[in-house]
Amino acid sequence: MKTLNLILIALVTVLFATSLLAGKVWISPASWWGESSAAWIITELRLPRAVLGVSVGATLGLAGAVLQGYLRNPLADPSLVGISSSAALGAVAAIALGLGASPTLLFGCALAGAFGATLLLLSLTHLDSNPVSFILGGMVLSSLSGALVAFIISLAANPFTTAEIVNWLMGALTDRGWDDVRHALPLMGLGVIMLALTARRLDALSLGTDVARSLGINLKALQWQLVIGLGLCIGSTVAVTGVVGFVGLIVPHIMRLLVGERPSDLLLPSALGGAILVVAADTLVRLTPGAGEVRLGVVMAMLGAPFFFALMLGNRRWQA
Amino acid sequence: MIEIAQLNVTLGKRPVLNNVSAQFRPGAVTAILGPNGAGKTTLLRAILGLIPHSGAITLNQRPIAQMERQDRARRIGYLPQLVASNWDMRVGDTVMLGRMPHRSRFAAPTAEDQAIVTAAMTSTDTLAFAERTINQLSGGERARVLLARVLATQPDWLLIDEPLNHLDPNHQQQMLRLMRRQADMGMGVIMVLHDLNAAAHVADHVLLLREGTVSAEGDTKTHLTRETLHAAYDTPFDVTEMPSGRMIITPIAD
Repeated sequence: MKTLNLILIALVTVLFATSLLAGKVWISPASWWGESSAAWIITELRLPRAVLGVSVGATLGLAGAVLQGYLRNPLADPSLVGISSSAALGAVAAIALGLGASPTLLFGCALAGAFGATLLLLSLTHLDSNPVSFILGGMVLSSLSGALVAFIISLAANPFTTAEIVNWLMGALTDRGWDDVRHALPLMGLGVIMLALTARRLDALSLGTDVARSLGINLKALQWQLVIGLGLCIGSTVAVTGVVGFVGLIVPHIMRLLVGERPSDLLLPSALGGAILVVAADTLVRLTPGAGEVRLGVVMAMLGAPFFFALMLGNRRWQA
Repeated sequence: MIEIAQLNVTLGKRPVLNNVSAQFRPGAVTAILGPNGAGKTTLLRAILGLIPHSGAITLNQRPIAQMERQDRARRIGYLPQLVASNWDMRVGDTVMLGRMPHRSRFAAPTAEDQAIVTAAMTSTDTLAFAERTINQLSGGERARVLLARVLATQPDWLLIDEPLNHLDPNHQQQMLRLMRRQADMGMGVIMVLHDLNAAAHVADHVLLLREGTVSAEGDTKTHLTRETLHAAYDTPFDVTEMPSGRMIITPIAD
């Protein structure tokens, strides 16, 4: 497993460097330093974007692995079960109210949405532990958030606000700068630490809640740690990029094939795999022909939806 | 000693245990018997503090509910009825979960942890599966792996629910011998059983439940009788003692 992690770290490094090179204009490493416009593009545009790509991807990959481990459900993904869309609802409400220019308020509203959704969903697992019920509950929450977002858009004061919301909702790292990094990174970092510290307890949960409790696990404390950790992770990633879905679904599945199914073994590889997926996808969207870019969130949804269907058809274990 | 006094448990609106009082001794095997729905599993879960209840449950005169979680986990091991592992983990990793109450949250397993896990797997005849994953095992093999997991905790008390399910006769006998050996070494073993002959064979004490109340409790020889069984199960039984001293219990068809 150590070898795999080293390979993944090497891949993250290579892709990070490639994302600095690649774009509508290719910039060779020789031009990365100095006073030239190429150096400015690197330091002010591509570098913060690559940093955000790595951190957003790692955060989403880890969040997916932790959520799946906690719920013992391989189909759980923050975007699929409405946590991301609830965070988006919070952020959209902030934009519609004209608060979008204040990063503190935008992040605060997104975090509130993510906290609320996570709390609601994890409470649902206490009432009904059936994984199918959880996914259905999450999808209802996702639809409801989507409907409320549409409602807010329909009430938007002017077409510019509408365009801003729709553009933001599609999820992208375009034009993100160091200010975004400064706001998002501490929150993501804190959330990542909280989630990473659940590893051993997720292993105990694999034998069910009664066994986990008999092994001395405080499930209430674990649940609160997850609510806060996932809220920070998903709220801050959504606030900085919009909704980039399916990373938390796709990556842990691929990593499970490589490292086995023990939840604690999956966390680091899923974080690294998430970073690889998002940075690679973000580099590719920059290379699409034409003046504009395909949105990162759109690309992830196009990759993720068929992946989800393939999982549903191929893996029926969760339906038992 | 685990002592239960006037235990009441209500699940939803249904009273499941009513005024149950009992004592469990260390170094002995106690079989909890009774028909389906009598409250046997609920009693185990209440002892572990997994469900809300009223009444007193103490371990060496200390309320179990007030014990620190980790301390309780080190002293009382619990093996529920066969549960499917949600993830297809390696057998060795699954058994290592039993060491969790003894390890700090971030410490890697020590050589001592590994030695204890190996001993637990040897005693349950599962060492050969260590590198396989749980889903690659049969039901009986999985049951033994999960038993190894709870033995790896090295608890003072073992609460075990229907341990003979999924086991072939050979491994059933092996399981009963193992329980006996653990009790002889000082562990308190409390087992929910459906197999009355196994209970008669292995248990020092029996606790018969019927509709959430204790219908008989005490020494196996004197309390596992035609009368107590009939009262608990609502069906007649023939109880015969063989020359070897072994009891054979057979329900009598009407």
